[in-house]
Amino acid sequence: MLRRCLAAFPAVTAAVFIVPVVIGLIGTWLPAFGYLPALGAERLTWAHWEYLLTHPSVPTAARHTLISAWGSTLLSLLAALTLLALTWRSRTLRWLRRSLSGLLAIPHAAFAIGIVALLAPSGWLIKLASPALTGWELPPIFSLVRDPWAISLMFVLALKETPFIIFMTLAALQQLQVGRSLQMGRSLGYTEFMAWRRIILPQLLPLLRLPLFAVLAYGVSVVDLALIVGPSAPSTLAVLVDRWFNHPDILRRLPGSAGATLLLVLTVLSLGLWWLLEKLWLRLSRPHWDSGQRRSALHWLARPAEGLSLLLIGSALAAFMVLVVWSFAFRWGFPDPLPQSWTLRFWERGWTRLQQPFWLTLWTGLAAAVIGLVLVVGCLEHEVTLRRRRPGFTGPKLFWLIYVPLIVPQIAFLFGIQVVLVWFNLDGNWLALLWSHLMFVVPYLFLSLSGPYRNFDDRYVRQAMLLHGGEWCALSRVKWPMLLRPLCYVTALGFAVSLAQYLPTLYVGSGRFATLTTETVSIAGGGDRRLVGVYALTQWLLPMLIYSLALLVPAWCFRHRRGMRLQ
Amino acid sequence: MALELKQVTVRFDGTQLFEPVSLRVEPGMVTTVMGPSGCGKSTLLAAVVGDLAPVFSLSGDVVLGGQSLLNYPMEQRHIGLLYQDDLLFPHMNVGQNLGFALSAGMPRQERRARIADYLALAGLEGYADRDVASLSGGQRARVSLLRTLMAAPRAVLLDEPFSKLDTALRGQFRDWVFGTLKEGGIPALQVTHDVEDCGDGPVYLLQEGRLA
Repeated sequence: MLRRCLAAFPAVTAAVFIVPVVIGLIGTWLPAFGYLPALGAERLTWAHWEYLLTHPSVPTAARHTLISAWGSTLLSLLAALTLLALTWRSRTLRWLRRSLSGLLAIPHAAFAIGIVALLAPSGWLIKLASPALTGWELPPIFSLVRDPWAISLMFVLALKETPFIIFMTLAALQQLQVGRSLQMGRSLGYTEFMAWRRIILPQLLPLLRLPLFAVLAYGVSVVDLALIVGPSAPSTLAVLVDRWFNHPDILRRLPGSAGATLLLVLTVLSLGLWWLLEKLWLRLSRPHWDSGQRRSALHWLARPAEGLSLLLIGSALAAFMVLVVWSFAFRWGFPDPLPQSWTLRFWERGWTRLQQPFWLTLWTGLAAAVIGLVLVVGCLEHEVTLRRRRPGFTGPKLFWLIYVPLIVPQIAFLFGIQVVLVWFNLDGNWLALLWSHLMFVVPYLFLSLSGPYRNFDDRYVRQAMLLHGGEWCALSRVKWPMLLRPLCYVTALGFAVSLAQYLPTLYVGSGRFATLTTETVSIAGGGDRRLVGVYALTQWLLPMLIYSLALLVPAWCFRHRRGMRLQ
Repeated sequence: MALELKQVTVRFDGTQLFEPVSLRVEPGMVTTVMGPSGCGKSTLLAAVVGDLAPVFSLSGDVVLGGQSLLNYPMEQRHIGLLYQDDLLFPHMNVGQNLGFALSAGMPRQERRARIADYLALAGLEGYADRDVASLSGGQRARVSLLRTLMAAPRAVLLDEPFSKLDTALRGQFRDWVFGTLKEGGIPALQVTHDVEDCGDGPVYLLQEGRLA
């Protein structure tokens, strides 16, 4: 009975999350070609494409999008791999591993606001250095953020994505026998770094393809982060499209749909190009695998790699600190390193305004995380059944569909979903909002939980069944308690993913739902910095609290069980 | 109660993994099937316990106490299985691991008494509250066997349970396991590739698809 129920999970999960994406894409493509009867547009035409392609901002916006997306993906991959290769088995990596959940919990918007508060012309860094080191008595006229080339957006995206790539790389490495392979490589005279390059990397890159696709697609379609730290004249293509979709002139939604479709084309081309480059790299590097070269000229990178991990954690800490200082500041002029006077006034004001968004974010996030967890565990447990039936089975092909919402730009299908929801009078409904968050929560949960779940030694379940009789008992009393740590962890991750959703909340919620993220992003553009600090900190602290609980609950439950401690 | 294998053979993709096996395991006796790696020993055990993947097809019959087991799922066959890894549940203490094998309706006092009695059997008095991670390899192996016995199995299968123990401990533990099974009158079928692990019961050799 249990197994029969589980068999339905993959199909239900895929249908619930994939069908709307397809409908959403169609709902965006039709307006892109002039068909949106609700606006009186019923004739298919290329006019909106012409408008889009001749718009003076589009080429620059597309360039910003490509620079920030490709640059951040390459930088974060390079940073994560170098860091792991050079600090493997070192204290630095152990330290980084422990900080990883904290880094992953940081919402993009809050992180970007913190970075802006650090690096802006009147930011904390320049205040700390002025006038002693810079000689400036007034804020400089140049800016390190919101630069016209989207370089700052690229770096902030890279900083934010590197912990995710490290997390996914560590999960992928569990499938490879890293310790033994490195030992073997070193016994043959290779330096550890070289053994990484020759033995581990060629096996690792294909395993990282999907997370990298997700990062690349996210970089192409990100709106909230680009609004805060990206260029403004013109902005990135995703921001430009978002503005058209929300323009007072409702007919702008038609070229907006064409722009969203163009973003999809750019994403598909980018993913294809990434795949080709990966193949090319493997082909070109293959002749070198057995070249016998045992030392790498790149070994000097060890120190910078350690520095990079410090930069990652340091930038997060500094961004957090500056938000704390701003949220309690009353007067803080340039170039004072600290505020002249402090106040709680902005916390009081902020909390009054944030109460409703806070509770909505909390309940939506918890509901999305728990429902997502049930769906993902159901799918993975069904996979276990299939694997038991067919030894050597690698997982249903259907599971790849779960990742579709991650690799299709959000804005390319959310407008279409909005159109369909309005059509059926379902927009602005909390259940629709929850479902739209689930679309993104489920793939992340699947990505994160599939490793520990698939690596679980199934003999424990069989032993439990032999000893106690029932499969449900084996799962509920043995397997899931043994997996409590990853289960709690991914629940917190699901919560953080739901909390960070900006576009789905705006589009599916039809502007009727205010969450911590939508409020923080909307105030970030022009609000009082002190109030922005309060908003961003609240957005930051809520997932941190949930992550802390996710770490503490299993630690407390298994405080007397050495075998259950984190390795 | 004896365990009987009657013309048991397993096929994969139409290929017969070994010729039909017939043997009888008497109560309290440990019957050993030896053979090199990959000869099908563990598949034979999986067939007996009812854990064959559906891609394999089983023919013949497995009979316990005169009753065919083929129509029963794994968890209803009342057969204990000891692997080479002890597979103690790391989130439970020693007592909870043993208690897991007891039936659900048993009163708490009786459970505690039963667990204490079994631990005493293995020279592990007072270990009920110990974390399983704090036990030595030998102690873990003993708790694992106790757990199997607490489920009151009608037969026990041993899948190279001694192979991971060090030499000093191995003989001692093996004698204790065989003695306990004999005392309980439980038929046991063991597969191993090590001649040292054979008890004083019958020994068969599974080689080149044939049991001799």
